[in-house]
Amino acid sequence: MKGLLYCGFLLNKKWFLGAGIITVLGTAVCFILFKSFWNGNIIMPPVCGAVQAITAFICTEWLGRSLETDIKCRFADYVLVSGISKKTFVLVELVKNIISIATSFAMCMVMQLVLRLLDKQAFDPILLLVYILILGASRWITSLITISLRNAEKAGLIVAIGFVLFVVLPYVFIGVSIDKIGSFGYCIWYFTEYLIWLGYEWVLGLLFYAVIIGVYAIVYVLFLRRIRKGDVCR
Amino acid sequence: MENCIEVNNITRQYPQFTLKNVSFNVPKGSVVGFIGENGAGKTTTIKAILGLLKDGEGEITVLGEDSRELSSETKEKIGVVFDGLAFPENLNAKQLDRVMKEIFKTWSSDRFFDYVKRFDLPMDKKFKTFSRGMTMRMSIAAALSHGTELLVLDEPTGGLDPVVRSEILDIFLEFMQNENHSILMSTHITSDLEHIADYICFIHKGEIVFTMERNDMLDKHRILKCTDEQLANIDKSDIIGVRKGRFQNEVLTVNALKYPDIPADVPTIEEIMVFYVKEDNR
Repeated sequence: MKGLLYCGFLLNKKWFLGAGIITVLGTAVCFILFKSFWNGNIIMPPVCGAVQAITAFICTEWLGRSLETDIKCRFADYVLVSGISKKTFVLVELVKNIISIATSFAMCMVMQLVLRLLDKQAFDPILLLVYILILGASRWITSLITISLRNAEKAGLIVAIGFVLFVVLPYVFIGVSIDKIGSFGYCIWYFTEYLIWLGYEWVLGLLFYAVIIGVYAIVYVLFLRRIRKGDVCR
Repeated sequence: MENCIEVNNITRQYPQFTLKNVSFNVPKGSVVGFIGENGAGKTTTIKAILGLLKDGEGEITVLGEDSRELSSETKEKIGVVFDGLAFPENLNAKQLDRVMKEIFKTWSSDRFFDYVKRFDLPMDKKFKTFSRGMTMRMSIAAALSHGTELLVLDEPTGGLDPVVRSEILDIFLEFMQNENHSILMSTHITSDLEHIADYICFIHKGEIVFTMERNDMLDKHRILKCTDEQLANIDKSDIIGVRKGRFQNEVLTVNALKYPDIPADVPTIEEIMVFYVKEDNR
């Protein structure tokens, strides 16, 4: 397992370096924006959010591409006939995913901590964690689809289209087509407020983490089944 | 005789290709040349042996274990060389050593670097700058640098010049100095097998045509050089393949002794393969 992780991070360290550079530059830009404009406290948050999104995106972009390369050059086959078991192979991909999202979280947290000196509202680790975990889960799904399509870009596009079609659009259409009182979005809001009123807002967090863990677990099982099926590099 | 690979009636269906009831063995301590034209099913069969294909009919055992459930100890004993470099092209030899050290428990860095030096390969250059010959030598160096007892080679000499091919074949002969070592080597360059293979297994359109000892194969087969009149008198069941020429015909047969009046030549492995494959000659 160590060998595969070493290989993966060695060959793709430029992505982490790039994300680090974006974080540093982005922090500097936010700092300057805040100090230079009279409405810097309005301009900075979206810029800060955009920089963090780009950082997280770059930090995790290599995952699918690396898997695609391993499949196309048949390194995946070579590894599977060596001492690496199929389970370990899948576990390595999972660990790469977790390390990447942890790194992007850490980079974004550093940025938030620095900008907190200017504006306390810049520091929102919970929201950051939510977005990072959603990104991590979507990258994990992308890795699974990359095995079938042998193309990380197409897999990413499919995941993005799926997210828009099955999450964003239903949310929007249901909210638009039905009177607000009874809309899907209103139900979510009502449920959230109710839990908070009861003092059980922690249930929301639990539900979210349960969904994320569920997605990771289901994709892990499907990933392992796909590897066991064979023809990985065909 | 103990077999290190046993392939029994494997069948695999793909949209445009089918492996049909493929069966052969690789005896321990021997070199089996697995020949066939491009697209015959050599690589697919090798992948099935290595447990890389989807499940299907038939059974394959490698070093006594089911190929689908090979233990990590058994995998350590199998050295694999695919057609082309199977490592990320942005690695160099030193980095590959660090990766392999963690993958194979029996990996020997000393042995690996010895082979790298012996093959005159650079340590610090990325594989993407390597020529075809260099990538094959690097693959072979890696395959021989853990506790390898069985080498499975898929077209290891394809696209290489005669000098490099000869060098690589010498390495395989050296590997075979140990009587516990075995090689399964697929190739369509049959001349490479003339001086290394103990057995020849011939596959054509997904089916095994024959598996024979090399010397036996060359002893049994003969090319009869005959006229049209003589060709007409040859029993059809004795004809494996015919090549009709302007001045004479060539007939491949295993019953040359039945026709003492017709001159016969000893064929090469390549000629045997061509005669078996060319359907218009039947």
